[in-house]
Amino acid sequence: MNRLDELVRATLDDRAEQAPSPIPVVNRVLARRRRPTRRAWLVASAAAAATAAIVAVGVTVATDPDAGSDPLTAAETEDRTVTIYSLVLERFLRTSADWRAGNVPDQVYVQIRPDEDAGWDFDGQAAGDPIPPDVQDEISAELADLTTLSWVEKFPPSVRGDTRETSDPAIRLGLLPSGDQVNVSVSAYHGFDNAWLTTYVVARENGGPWRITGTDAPMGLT
Amino acid sequence: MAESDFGEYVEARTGALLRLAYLLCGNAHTAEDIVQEALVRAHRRWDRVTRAGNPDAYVRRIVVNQHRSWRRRRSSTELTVEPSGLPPSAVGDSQDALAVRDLTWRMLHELTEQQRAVLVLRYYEDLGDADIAELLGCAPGTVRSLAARAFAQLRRHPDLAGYDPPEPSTTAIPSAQEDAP
Repeated sequence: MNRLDELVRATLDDRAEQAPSPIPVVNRVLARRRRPTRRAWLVASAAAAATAAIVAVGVTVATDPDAGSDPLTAAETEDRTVTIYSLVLERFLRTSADWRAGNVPDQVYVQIRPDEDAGWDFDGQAAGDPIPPDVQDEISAELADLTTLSWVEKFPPSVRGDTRETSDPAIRLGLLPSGDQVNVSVSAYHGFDNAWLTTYVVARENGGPWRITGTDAPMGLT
Repeated sequence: MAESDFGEYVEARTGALLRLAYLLCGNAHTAEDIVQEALVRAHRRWDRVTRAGNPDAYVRRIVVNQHRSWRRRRSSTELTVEPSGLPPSAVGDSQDALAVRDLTWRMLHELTEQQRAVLVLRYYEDLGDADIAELLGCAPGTVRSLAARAFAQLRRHPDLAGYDPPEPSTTAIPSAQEDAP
């Protein structure tokens, strides 16, 4: 064997034999699959809560005819957040500036707190309420075949490089309003002279699927 | 969701995924974590994965992404490659051959993660450069460039310098334009 590629192939073939047994992983994955997921649990809890609420509303209506409409359940709020933020992140990652066409970074920092100033101030901590860890995980899973999202309270210093080559890419999400048509900002910083901001319009009709229907302004670039 | 399909996939493919993850990271425990996380993520969207028609490509991509993420979380000074003994299949080889494969294994883990990923995907998974490029999210020219630089790095070691480089057609360094991100 005189060629280096043949040596590499032989080495990899040998070492692959030392990979761990699949049995423990198979068992853990299949066991985890059989347990109800948190979302399934929440849906079940929400259904039970809704049943209780119907009873409670019956009582309330009898004493308070001006009672308002039902708010979203916890599960519905979580699903809505996951769906909308996943949609805007995926669209942004696939279509923005130099991240399009297969050049999506393999890791992107995302601040756990959305902020109304999304885009223009990347220092310090954003002001919004933090996205719950389970929701972060769900959004990460939705984007898993595109990139790895690293959720952070505050961006690390590596985000502040002077150029794309010396900076880790980072995203700050805008706030997520209520309603069936919402404007959600998403912005990115990838080097001193590479910042982008855009606002997506996300809507659904009659309880149907959420879709991005457009943007409310041209994409901002620096 | 076709739960039975997912179960069959896990039972049939976890071994291969573990071998890929182990070759990428060089650590059995980390390989298990990477593959478990990849499969859990795939399960969450199994409908979409199966509709796309190639679950292996999807899960393999998550494994590679998970490995990159794992690498970044570790200090560059941390030892990540298990100093394991000689590979079982090498019994009967000469001590020199064993030693050089051991050296090659250690040198593979001194390459950049992308260089090593290219070599593992090309020489263990037998993927073509176009498939590797799609999996890594880069151009095929970048794959060839990464492979060429990986081999150049390996040949810098005195004990590997005497090995012939691979055929130029598969590792030609592309032009700057083709290699641009």
